[in-house]
Amino acid sequence: MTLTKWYFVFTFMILFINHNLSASEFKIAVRAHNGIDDAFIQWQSTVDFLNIQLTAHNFTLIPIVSLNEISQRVAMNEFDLILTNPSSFIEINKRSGVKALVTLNNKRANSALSHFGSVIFTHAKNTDILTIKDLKDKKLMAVSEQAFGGWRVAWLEMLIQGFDPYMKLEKLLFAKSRIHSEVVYAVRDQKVDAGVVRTDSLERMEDRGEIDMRYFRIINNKDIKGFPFFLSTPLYPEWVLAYSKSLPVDIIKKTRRILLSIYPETKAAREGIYMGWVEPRDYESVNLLMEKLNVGPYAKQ
Amino acid sequence: MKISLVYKLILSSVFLVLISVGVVGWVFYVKTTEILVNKALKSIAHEVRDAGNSLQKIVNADDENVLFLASTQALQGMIHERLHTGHVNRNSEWFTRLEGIFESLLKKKSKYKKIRFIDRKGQELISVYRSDAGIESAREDLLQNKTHRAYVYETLKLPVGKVYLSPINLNREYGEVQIPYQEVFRVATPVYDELTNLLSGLIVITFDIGQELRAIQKRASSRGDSVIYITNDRGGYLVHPDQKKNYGFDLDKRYRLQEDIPQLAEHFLPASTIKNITLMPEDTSGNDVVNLTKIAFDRNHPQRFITVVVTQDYDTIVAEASTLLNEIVYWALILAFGGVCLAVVFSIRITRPLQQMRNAINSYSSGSSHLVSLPITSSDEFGVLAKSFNLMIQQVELSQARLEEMNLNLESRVIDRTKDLNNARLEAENANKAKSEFLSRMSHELRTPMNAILGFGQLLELDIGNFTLTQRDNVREILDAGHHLLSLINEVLDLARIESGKLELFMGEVNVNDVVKQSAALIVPLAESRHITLMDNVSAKELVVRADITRFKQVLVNFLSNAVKYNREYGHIIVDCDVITEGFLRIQITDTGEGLTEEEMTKLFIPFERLNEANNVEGTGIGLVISKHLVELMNGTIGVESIPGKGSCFWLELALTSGA
Repeated sequence: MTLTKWYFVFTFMILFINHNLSASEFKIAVRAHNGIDDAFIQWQSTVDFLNIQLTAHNFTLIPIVSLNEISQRVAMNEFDLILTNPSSFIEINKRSGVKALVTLNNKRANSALSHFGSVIFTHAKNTDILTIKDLKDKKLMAVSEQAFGGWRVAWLEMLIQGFDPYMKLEKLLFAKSRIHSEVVYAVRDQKVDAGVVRTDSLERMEDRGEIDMRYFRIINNKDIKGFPFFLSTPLYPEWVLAYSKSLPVDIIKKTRRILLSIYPETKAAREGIYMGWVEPRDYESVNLLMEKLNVGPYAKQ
Repeated sequence: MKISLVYKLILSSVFLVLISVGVVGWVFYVKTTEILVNKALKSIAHEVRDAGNSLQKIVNADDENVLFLASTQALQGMIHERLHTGHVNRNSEWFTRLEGIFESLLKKKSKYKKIRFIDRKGQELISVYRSDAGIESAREDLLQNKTHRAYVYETLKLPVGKVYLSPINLNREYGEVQIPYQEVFRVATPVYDELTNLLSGLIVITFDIGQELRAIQKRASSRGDSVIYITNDRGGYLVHPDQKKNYGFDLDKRYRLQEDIPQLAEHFLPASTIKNITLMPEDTSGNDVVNLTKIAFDRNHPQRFITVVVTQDYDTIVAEASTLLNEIVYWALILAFGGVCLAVVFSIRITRPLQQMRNAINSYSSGSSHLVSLPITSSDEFGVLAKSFNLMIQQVELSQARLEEMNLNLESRVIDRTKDLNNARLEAENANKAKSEFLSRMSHELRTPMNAILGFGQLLELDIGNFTLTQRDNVREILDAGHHLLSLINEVLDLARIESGKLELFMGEVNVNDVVKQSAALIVPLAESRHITLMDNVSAKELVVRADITRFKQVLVNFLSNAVKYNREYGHIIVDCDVITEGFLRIQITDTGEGLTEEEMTKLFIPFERLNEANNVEGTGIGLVISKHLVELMNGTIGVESIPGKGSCFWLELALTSGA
């Protein structure tokens, strides 16, 4: 124990000195839930902002669609910073010891939101689906099995309501592309009876003119004061930017300070479609959810 | 258990009354419910449609106004001025005139919030608006750029003379929703420079529709218990009982009708053509009847509509029917009670004549009374029945009397007839007795002198040598005639005895052979005198029958003598025997005479019927009759077969003894 500690301190010192001496390379992995291209469009400005603020260092953006891939590569210590969804964060937190640096303060409908959830929806024509229980023997599509807002939050909500989607659905499908729009289109085109996406996915697509909300109806619609989007579940803290052990302490402090300084009008925030960053939220609720669902670090072997 | 007719009638009438009251009541209730629900919905739909029509009228006028504004000379003048000078001169005549027009229109139209001219880059050039202080024209520094507003870029796409109608939303200034909320929509039209035909901007009238929406809400709420929602064409609430849900789409809130009344969601789809629909809840109790009506608020823009949704608790609608049902039940019970009373009265009235009739029938059938008559109290079926009953009793009485009389007659006639018959029988018996007595006496009285005659004749015969030939012949004639007469008398006596039943038979076992031989011997002399050959085929056989030997021989002799008598000269007689019937022996005597016809054969066994009298054959005509009697007395049978011209065959059958 003592030996490990000393070793850690030693390594730390080396790195600390090293970073002060020369520019270092930091890799930022980003969960690309809307695809690789979108991820670059959305996050490159933020990475640029870091690079500008910390000219001595170079931050590189690595968008990754698959959450599994993120977990695996984090375990192999490939990244220094990881921007991912809460359940993915809990997983890498439990497995690889990454810690929350800041929580994303999302910009949605002109208000700052550091929470989100799932929205379960169906086609307006499906008059037989009024509640979650009406999904019995129906086809449901979610974003991916590891998706947080795009599946797990909704899954827990279903379980709480006594509906086990793995038992009672006729078919549970996940988007091949692992992106939200595939689910939305599948419901619109009535290829499936209902869909699960994270909150705000529908509204974003509507704003972009990709869908007409009249085609959809929300199941288990929840009205949480101050939350501007369609919602079917309780809210969970937003995406988190986590740091791995490889990130030097001063860089941790510096990046946190820089990111907290971003305000809505900053280019990074505008292009990233967020308001800024906030002190890390409490992810215990996410941890509990994963425990209840037996997923991620709680997966039964 | 025996239930009397009265109770049966009462029970069934009570049952019928209750059932019919129940059925009628139920049908009435169901119909009333239906009518009430329909009425409630219809009145809502009607109110909503009326409200829609009045809204359309107002909005259509706006179309005209905006088109008028776009073509005013003042506007065109201002456009030209701006084209030449490059800016808007707020003190120029055109500008002032235009301001004046805008102001006067705003004065005239209290619903107009604001009238603006915006250039094609989205910059407001003139904006006249209504404020608390009155009608004002916006200061130059307060004019905004509205490039990104939908009504601007949508209107600029239109050709001249077309009107754009914006959705209803909350008024924004500088991108912020104004408080207090102003519910507005905008009517806009593009403005073209009349000289160059170039697009120069647009005229926008901002219309305050809050009052109209309230009016619609009020009209739709004509029934106090209904809940009204008004939404835009996307389902976003404009009017909701919970006011915080109104204009959610402008206030970053997601309140839509689709989520609250899911069964209506499909009617908000772009392809939906439904204008009005009423949905009944599947489970009526505690649920709402929902009516949706789409109102296009401008006839020229049917795609721009608002939706009025009215929900009413089904139970509340039908509550009136329930009250009615209670009343129905109350009256039904009263009716039923009345019905029961009537049923009792009628039942008693109906059954009383029946009771009387039963009593009458009882007393009649028990014989206690013959003078039964029912009172005829009515002219209905019972009266008719009583009359018929009385008539029937009379008829029965009459028939009874006639029958008794006939019976009496019949008895006396039977007695008379019996008396007559007895007399006749006695007479006949006496006659028969007299006949038998006469016969026996006659025979006896005849035989005595006959025996004397024959006796003395035989004495004469002894002295025949002393007589002449003639005398000899005479003596012989006397003897022959006497013998003949004696045999005749004996035969008649026999017949008499047989008929009077006085003949006694001595049955025993008789050797047929012996009898035939002896009989044949008696006949042979006579046969030879006529040259007739007798062939005896019986004698050789040892046959024994049960018979009275004397009478058997008598019959055989009778047969044989007949066979000789009625044979031709030089003919044959064959005596034969055979077993034809089981246990009987048939003895038959066949001759070669002239035979018999069928008719003759029937007469053979009738007394005193002689055949061929012309033949001059001797005989009494009763030989065969006696033979028949005798054979039958010996339990035998007699018969004849004959072929005319060839001969006859007489036969008799007698029982063979077991020893034979």
